[in-house]
Amino acid sequence: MSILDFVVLAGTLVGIAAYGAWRSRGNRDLEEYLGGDHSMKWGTIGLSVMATQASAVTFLSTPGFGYEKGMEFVQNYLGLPIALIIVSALFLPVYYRCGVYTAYEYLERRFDLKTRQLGAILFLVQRGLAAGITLYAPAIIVSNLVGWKLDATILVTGLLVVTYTVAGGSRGVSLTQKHQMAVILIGMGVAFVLIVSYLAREVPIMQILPLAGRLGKMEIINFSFDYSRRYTFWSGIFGGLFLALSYFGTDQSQVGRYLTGKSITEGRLGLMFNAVLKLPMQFFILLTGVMVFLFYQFEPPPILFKRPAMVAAHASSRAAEMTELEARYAAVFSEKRDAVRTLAAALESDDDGVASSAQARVEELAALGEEIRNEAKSLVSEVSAGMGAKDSDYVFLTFVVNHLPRGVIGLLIAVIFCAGMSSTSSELNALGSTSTIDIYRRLVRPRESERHYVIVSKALTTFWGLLAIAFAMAASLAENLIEAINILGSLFYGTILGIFLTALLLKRVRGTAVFVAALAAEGTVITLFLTTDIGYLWYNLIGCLLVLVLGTALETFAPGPRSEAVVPGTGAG
Amino acid sequence: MTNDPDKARRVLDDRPPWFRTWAGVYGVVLAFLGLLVLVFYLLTRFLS
Repeated sequence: MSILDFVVLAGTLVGIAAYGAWRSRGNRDLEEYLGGDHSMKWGTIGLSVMATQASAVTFLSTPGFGYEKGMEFVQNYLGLPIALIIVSALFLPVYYRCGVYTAYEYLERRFDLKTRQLGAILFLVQRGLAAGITLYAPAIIVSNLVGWKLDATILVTGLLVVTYTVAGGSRGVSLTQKHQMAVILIGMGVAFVLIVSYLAREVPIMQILPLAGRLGKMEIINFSFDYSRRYTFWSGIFGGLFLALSYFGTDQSQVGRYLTGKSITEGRLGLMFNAVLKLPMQFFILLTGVMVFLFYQFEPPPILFKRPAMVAAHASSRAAEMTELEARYAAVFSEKRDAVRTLAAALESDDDGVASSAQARVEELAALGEEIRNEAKSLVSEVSAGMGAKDSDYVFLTFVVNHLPRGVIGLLIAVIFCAGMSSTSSELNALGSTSTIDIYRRLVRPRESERHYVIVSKALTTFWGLLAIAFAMAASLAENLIEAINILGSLFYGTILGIFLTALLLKRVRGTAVFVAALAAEGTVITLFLTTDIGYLWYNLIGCLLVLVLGTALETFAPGPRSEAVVPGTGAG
Repeated sequence: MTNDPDKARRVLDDRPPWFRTWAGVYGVVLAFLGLLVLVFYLLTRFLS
């Protein structure tokens, strides 16, 4: 990395953090610190909601997915606009009218204390672990590619995000996210334009998408009913709808964002901003991955994109074997490049016969190349136990570091860190507010001054931040643990959504019924996860429907004592 | 924000009919989603 890149990177990250902390300094009460003084307009809310969802993984894994498998992942987001409409119409007005700081306060008003605590604790466990991962993911990949020390990278970015999140509170988080999102959009736009301009040297612009299609990367929509297929139109619309509904409607890291709005209207417009822009944004991030794939049809890619894996192989006793694999891979690439050029020329001259035979040759050579890559992956796993060889997350940044001009490299690394920091700041803010409002103020010290709660909230946010940093540092020891935590997190969402939908839609179901139904639904989802191969998006639908059906059944056939009904407003919100 | 209620009313009346109610706004968002799905389908159909 050049000095110019470093200046761009450090200037962007520190400048935005300092600006956010300075603009939101001097929070005096909880309303200001956790509610952002309800002063945000829809544009800031919209960008803040978008920045919270778009973590570093979005800008590393999504182009990697596009590179490897094409555009089908975009179906994952088909249910999102519908979910945002439901949140805007159903959840948001209730939260605003109840005047709550956290989504879980509403559960006590509607049901009882134990249901509120169940929601809050599930959130704290899930997000507490996830915050560490959102710090770890960009640090591991950037440090591997640029050669920085992993622990130092986690520590510096972690302390920076903890500092401005604690200092600025909810308002600081929203303001920094607005600028971080601007950097992300500009950076990704620049990267996309540059890749296309590089590609245009080899393929006429109008032939780029047809070529991507011929190479199997443009299957965007699939109407298959195969339930074990992870991404289809149906799993995206239904499973994706329930996942997004749970995330935007009940996850405090999102609820906290739109509750900073000046009014219900500003909050709703912020959500609609995302309903319109999120899907096109994901489309373009995936398309960037597809463009990188095309770029590497003409430029030789490394046999494995994960640099530490290659370093480990070359430092081992089987270095000669790896060198031989690399030579074979380069020879196959060279033949494949000729076949791709023939295919591109045939597409331009509309020669279908030549195009089909060239396409068949490309597919044959691509399969051969993949076999050699798999041999290299096996070699890496054998010489370096514990180092995974999965390298799709490294594809985009490898392209950035090796092929983009100076200055732009710094900007793109800033994009990755901005994305990671903006998600982490929302998570820490939400963890701090939930543990202050739902645990400390409700159960430990209910009658203290506003100033006392602001100090406690800052202390708890710092605690969660330091825990996330410690977890991120420990995570480097166990890569598989991270995947397990990500999957486990997604298993809870359906149940939590079921609790909230029962609260909002099924007025006669009360606390004990929904509490028991939630425990039973969660048990069922975990059992299904362990014993079947259902695509994980469906668990959101299953968990939610189980809570709704079981809650209604329990209330009908085994109603609890009438005295458990909670008078609205008794929650310590 | 304006302190003039007449001006605020005029601004509301100037909006196209589909933006005067939230149901209209949601309808526009859903129509946009439908359009995107159609574009994705056509791209899949003609490029794959």
